[in-house]
Amino acid sequence: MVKFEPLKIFSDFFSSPVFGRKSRKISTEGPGSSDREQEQREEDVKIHFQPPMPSSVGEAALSKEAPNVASGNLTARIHEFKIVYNLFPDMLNADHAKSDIAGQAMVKALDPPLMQLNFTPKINQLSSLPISLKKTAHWNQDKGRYPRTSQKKDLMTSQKYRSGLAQKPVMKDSSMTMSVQQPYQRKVEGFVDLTSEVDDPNFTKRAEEASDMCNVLWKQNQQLGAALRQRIADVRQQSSPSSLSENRSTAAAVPTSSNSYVCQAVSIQQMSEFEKSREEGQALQQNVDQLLNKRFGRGASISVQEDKELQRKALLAAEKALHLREIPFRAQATAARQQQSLQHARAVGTDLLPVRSFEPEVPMLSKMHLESRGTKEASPPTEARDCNVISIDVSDEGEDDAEDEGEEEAEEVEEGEEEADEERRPDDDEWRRGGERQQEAFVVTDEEAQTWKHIHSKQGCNANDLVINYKSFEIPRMKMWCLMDREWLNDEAINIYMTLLQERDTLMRLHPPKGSKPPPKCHFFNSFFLNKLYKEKGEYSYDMVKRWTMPNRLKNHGQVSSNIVKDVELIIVPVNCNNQHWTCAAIDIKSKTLSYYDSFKSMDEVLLNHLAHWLEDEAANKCDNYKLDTSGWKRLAPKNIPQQQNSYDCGMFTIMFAHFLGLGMPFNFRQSDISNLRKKVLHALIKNKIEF
Amino acid sequence: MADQMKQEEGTAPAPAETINIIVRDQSGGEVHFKVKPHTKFTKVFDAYCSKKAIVKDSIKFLFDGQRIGSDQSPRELDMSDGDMVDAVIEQLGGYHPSN
Repeated sequence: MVKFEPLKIFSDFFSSPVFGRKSRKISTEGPGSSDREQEQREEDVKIHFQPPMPSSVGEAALSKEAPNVASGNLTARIHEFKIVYNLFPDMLNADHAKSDIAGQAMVKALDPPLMQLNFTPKINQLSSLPISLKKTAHWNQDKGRYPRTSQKKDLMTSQKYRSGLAQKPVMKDSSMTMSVQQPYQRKVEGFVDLTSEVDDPNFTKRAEEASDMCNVLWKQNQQLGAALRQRIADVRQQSSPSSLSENRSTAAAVPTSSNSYVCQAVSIQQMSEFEKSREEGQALQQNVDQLLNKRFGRGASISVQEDKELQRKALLAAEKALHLREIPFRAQATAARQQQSLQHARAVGTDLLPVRSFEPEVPMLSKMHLESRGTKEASPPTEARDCNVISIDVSDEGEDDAEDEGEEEAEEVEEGEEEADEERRPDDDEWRRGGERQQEAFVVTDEEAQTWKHIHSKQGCNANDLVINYKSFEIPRMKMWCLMDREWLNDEAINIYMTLLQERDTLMRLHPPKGSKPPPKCHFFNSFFLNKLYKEKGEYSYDMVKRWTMPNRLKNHGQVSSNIVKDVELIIVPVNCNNQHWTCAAIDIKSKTLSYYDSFKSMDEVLLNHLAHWLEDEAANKCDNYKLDTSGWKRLAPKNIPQQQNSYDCGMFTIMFAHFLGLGMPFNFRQSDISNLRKKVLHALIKNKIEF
Repeated sequence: MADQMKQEEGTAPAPAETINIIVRDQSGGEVHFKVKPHTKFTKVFDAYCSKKAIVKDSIKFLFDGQRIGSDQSPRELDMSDGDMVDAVIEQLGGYHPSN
């Protein structure tokens, strides 16, 4: 349901770059400012503000209301249904499940792209609001509808990088004005004086204007909402299960229930299409299975030529998989087809399947997906299934999700082949090691599932709502969407979790867990530590982080010890590599070891050397010139640690490495657990407490 | 928010009740802010973002490695004249592309 919060809009509006900041007279230039800059600033101050117009969707709905009911015109009804569905999806979903399934299926059947419109009304209504708001709405739409788009692109382009077809971009996000790649050079860019506070009368006036407009918009929406509520009640009445069942036996020609029959007919068609595509999918899977077995089976040895042949075949298979993905779309194609279906429905009215025949769509696709996942992770197929068993968001996103997965399936098959050369598969026994593992590890509790749903629900919530306010972390909802399945993790998730681990460490020092050896005393840095230590400047610079470990800073961070060289046994540092990869580095002071835990099996000697250097400097600086020599310390990159089997979970592995290092336990998790662990981590972040 | 900023003349000595805070980005660019010790950091953040023409969501501020909350003030954080605040951008990661 579209929700309007005038106050929220109001506040957003004034913090927007269009209005809030630029409207002030900014005189931030340094001593060398020129007239041209002044002119530029004048231009910035101009504000383009127009009164909001009524929503186009709403108008359409209201104007079409009367004729539709009278004529029973199918197309118009469909149009209506679309509007109602878009604006009141949750009302539709609430009760009247059967007729709603029919309605939803109809919407899906008639116009697949329509499903994208889940968020469109918001945007339409905001069409006259400032850019920042619109941007948010668009962003919502992108994130909501295509949560994995950018990643998919990455995956596809990564193939090009490997083959040298495309040049690798320097940074993922080029919209930022500051780039990591710029050479570090100290330069003063300006002076700003914030000490004088004068109210700007112009500002207050504009604020009032905007507030009025928001109110008008809000009222309009309320009216619209009431009208549409009425409409939806009518529609429900007409397509309620009782009237449906009555009509089914007698006459398919009754206009009021015709839409249900259309749905049913379309669904039959779809089902046959899906059936077909499933068979093809199975054949494809067998084919790929054979290929993989031949390639990676025990004692397999093949020549280079055979290898190339296999790769070619796998690519063909991948293409086929892509083709298969199109089938559901084609199944729902044109209006002409729907008309045919209507005829068909009328002809065979009494033989139609019950309404629940729509249900198999999603499971069928998921099954296909599972099977192809099994193919991809050829050696431990059971685990590949495990990791998909609990998947809460499927029910939320329904068909969207299934289709997305269908797409990825193709890419994954392809990728699976490409990665073959890197010896990852032959020794996959290794990553499964890591201590005895209970079968029932990491079960998602109801509470965690609730949190998950709460954060990831896309309807009736604002992406900018603060969901975490913990120790000066103020995190809006959208930043936590990175914990959705297959999303890349951002620094917020990593760093808040590190803070929580620090807190857990403090608690464990006070109340050591009974019955096991006490966990090491830990210190957890944030992910910016190494950037400041050497990555930004391109050379080692202790001064940049010298003050990070002053006793009062440590105290604020939650570290109980006042000196982390003397009193701490394990220092854990999350590492961000080129804005593309997360790893975890650890300094074990007790056993004089520097370790680099990478879920992608790599080693960074430079990083470990810098860390060792830092430790020496830290000892000298904070422990009265204590001479620590780390030259003889071991530098390790353990290989028998859990490894990621995809291209998006490294952040979770980093978090879990730190989690288990902090407990002093072996890494008791693996790839198939990550889906559940994402939910657990999210819950911990939201509740500000680690409870597993 | 509705404050009016004044241009500071070069390195004019700050009055006793104000302190200078330097916000530096990761390529070394520095913006100097003259603030009162009790001024909330949200003001500094807003001014910095508008100066650099960036969205506030895309950036966060660290003081000696600690995240600064928008409600905190220099006094709360024990800041003194000339202290450095680091502006850092979002980090992301999913896998190692070179592997």
